[in-house]
Amino acid sequence: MNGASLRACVLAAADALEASRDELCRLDAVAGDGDHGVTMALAARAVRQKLEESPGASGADLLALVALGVGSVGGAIGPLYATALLRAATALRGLGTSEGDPTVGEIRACAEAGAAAITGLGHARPGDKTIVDAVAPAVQALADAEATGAGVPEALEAAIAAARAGAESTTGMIATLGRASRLGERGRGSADPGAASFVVALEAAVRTYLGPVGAEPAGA
Amino acid sequence: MATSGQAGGRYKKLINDPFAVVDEALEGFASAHADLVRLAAPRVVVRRTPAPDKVGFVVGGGSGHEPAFAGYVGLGMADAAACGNVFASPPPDVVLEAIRAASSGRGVVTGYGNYAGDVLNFSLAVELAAAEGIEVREIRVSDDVASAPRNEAEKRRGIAGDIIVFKCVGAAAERGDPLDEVERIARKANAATRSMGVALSACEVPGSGRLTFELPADEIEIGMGVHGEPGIRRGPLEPADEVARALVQTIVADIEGGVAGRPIALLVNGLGATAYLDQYIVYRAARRLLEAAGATVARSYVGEFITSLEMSGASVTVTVLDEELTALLDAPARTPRMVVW
Repeated sequence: MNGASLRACVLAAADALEASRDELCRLDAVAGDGDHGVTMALAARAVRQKLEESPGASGADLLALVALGVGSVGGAIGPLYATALLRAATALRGLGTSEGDPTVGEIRACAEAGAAAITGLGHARPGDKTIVDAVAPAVQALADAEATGAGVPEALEAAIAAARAGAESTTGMIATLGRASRLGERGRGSADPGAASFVVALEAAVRTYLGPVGAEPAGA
Repeated sequence: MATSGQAGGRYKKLINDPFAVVDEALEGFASAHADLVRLAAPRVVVRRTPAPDKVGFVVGGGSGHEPAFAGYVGLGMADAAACGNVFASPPPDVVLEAIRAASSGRGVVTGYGNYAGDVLNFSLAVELAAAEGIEVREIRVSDDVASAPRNEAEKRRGIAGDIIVFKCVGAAAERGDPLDEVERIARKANAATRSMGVALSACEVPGSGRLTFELPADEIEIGMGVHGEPGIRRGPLEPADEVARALVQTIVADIEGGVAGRPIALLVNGLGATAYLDQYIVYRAARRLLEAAGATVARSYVGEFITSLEMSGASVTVTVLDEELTALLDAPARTPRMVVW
């Protein structure tokens, strides 16, 4: 994936998060303090501003800018995304493939690095009703796709489906970490807002990358 | 995007752009209290006159809790406050900026409520500060007895007990205590402090367009947190005396050795939309109950110390005192919200 389309993917994710503000606030009002939609909308604004300030940034440098933008919103979600994106950027840099389209294995490697940062910082495991419940299955889907030799579009579609199923599975979970953990049984029946917003961002970014259904992967 | 204060919202708010509330409020705050504080950077409030050669003290957390946290910057309390978005911890760079401002070479203590976001962001800032050669100790205030059982006290969140802890820490730093000693005081004050709250109605995060929780008009929630985190039980609205009894009983039962024969500080905190009239009625009830339990109410504080936007409700905080903590509470302070002389 070249810089221009990574930028387009990030901007699409930002747009989608802003458009989902109400729904994310609604989820968070059940589970936490009702601000998750506002927080992610602020993150989207901050990211957009960072990208405007550096119109030439691409690849790992662009991911690092996105990290700074999301991180600036603070809360729990800010440092989690910031660290994940910085680790993914480092992984991308290490691959030395900022030119040309990435392979499934390269996408998986970056995603894995990001996911490891989230679990390392937040100490959440699958089943704790957090963003990890969406992130971990997505990474696993990428690894499975890599193992079966699937193409990038197929792998990314599988990642979206896995993330969405993971986020939906949080509906039946009881939170054990973060502010939502104070909820106990009453949190059951509502999805985790952090997992939900991850799916929103991932889906928008991937759809932009792949282009309209049936079309060839988008270039620049 | 909503540009009017009321667009899509449930509460009438006196705001402009819902995304600009924090910066506009901080600008107003800093200019209103320009004799005491100034904005050193966006979201970083510092003393107008920095204190030389003492342990620095940084407080912080999400906005929406005004007068917390910037209201406690000044002589005898904090050197700097790091302010986040509404109900969201400030990011590490803001906290780091506050730590730098508070540092005079003798180390810095950060004090904040024990929430996942604050822990993440402050911890990252502490690492960044350490890389710059600033030694930082952290105190995570965890006074809310409703948020976790006693055997998991480290999981408890911080609510109005923040104020008692911050007052003691600030006074210890102001009198020149070394870093180890200020940290000891911080842990001691936190361990001696317990709180519990009640919510009567919800608040609305600007821009969210909805209330943080739904509570029927005739119900209250005992144990609810300052961000609308669910409490431990919901029930019909009861007289203030009954609500105070539920809070005080839970607090006292949580104090090892109880309160009989011990001096205590009693703080009643309004959450934002509860009248001072009501707060004093709650204080009266809490005081009677504590005295009946054998405590001596040695120090009292009533008012809005850490709010939750326009949430209606109150909390009761009890700190078991000794001579050391009492002296620290009585030490002079001059901040926008806390004046002791």
